[in-house]
Amino acid sequence: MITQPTIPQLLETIRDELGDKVMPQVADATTKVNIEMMQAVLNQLIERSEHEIDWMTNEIAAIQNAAERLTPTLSNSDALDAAVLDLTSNRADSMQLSAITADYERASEVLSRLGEAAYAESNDAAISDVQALLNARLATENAATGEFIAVGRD
Amino acid sequence: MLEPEKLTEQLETLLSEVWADGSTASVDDFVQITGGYSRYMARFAATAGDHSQRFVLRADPPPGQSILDTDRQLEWDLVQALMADGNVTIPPARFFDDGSVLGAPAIVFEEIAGETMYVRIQTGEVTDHLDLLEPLADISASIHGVDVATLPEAIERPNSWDEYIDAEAARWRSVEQDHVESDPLMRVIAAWLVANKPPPTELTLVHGDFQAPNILIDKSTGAFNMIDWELAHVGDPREDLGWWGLAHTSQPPNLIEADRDRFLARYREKTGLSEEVVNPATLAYFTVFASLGVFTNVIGATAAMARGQASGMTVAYMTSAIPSMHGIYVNAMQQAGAWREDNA
Repeated sequence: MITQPTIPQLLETIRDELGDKVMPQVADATTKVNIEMMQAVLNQLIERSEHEIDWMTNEIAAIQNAAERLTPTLSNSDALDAAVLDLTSNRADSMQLSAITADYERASEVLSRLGEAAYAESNDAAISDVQALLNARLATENAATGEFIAVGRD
Repeated sequence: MLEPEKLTEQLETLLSEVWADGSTASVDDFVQITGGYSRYMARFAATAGDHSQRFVLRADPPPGQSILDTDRQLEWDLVQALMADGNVTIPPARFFDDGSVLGAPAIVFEEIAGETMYVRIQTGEVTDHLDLLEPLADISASIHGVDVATLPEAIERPNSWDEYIDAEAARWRSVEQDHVESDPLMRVIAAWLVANKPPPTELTLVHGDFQAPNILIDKSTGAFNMIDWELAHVGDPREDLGWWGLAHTSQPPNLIEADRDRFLARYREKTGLSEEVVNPATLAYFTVFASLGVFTNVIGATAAMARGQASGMTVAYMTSAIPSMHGIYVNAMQQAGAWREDNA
């Protein structure tokens, strides 16, 4: 298969052509805004195509570790236990993006239930760990999209 | 369905019926306004005989191309009520079409010559515009001072503040469960909103999209005109102040943050609300609380795209807005906690 130029390089080429060649030829204000939006989405795709599987697998492991560590500190972890079981018993056996995404979805449910249990019990240590996981997820999201500035506003 | 290429002709038909007083209206200088992400907006000039006037069209865009699904008829009824009430200055809403002439439900407003507050504060430093803080506080207080009894019956009135807050907090959870993918932050927010309720206050009219691009400053009078009422509802007045903080992270500068104490002091003076009710921690709380409506629409639009039910560049672009909103929620939750600890 062809791996060079890489997906990010091809996407960068499209993004740059839009800005350097297409944009100067466009007079319509609405179309100009559309092009700016396309460039922003392409920037996101450049990052995601390079890192997405790695980001998801790392976060799945971090969530599973946190759940195993915190479950014994929670007085009612039935819902959390069920989500952890769903995650661990259905792990993907391939690196296909769709398979990893399904694992990530199950891990996200674990994190959601961990957060709900932590706040319901006012468990400060668990809340702190949940916040750390959410901060890590946010850092990944920001790495994928960069700073969001609304285009075309007036 | 709205067909932009036909609008000039359709507007001529509409205005000939409702505005031209028996004459034939002509429409010129029709220019789409690019600022909004939800409605199709355009400004144009109409002429009938020796009479001419400038208008703004606000219409539902073609299906699948908006990040919001709101009701033009209800917005029309609301702006009519606001014009009758007179408490808030808005551009006069002149005509409503249910879609039978223009192809989609639409409102025609008189155009106000001027610029939005957003455009105004782009020039120079944000501190050059601190004189706008008092009128900004005044227009927010005037919105929250509208007699709720005068609003259209179709606008829901919550039974109580507690019930309203609890229901909205629960909605974060239910919206997440209906979404196309899991979003743990939404579930944590639902729990956090209940665990960190601020002091209650009287429920009022809430604009729902209170931000500088929606404040039009009349060039001739300097009056602040509030536009875009599609997200208006009855709720907690602090929602508007909280939403401002979120909106202006993606659309800097944040004028209120430039001198928050001055703004809050004026707002409290105009509304009579105490510092216990209106303070930086409650603003941070409502930055999170107030954004569910727009956040729901944003993720709803992206979910529709994921399901193959929607398309359009604006929807695709909104995928980049979601992390930004997540970041604002996390920061606001931390700010609220820090302020409460410092002032305990």
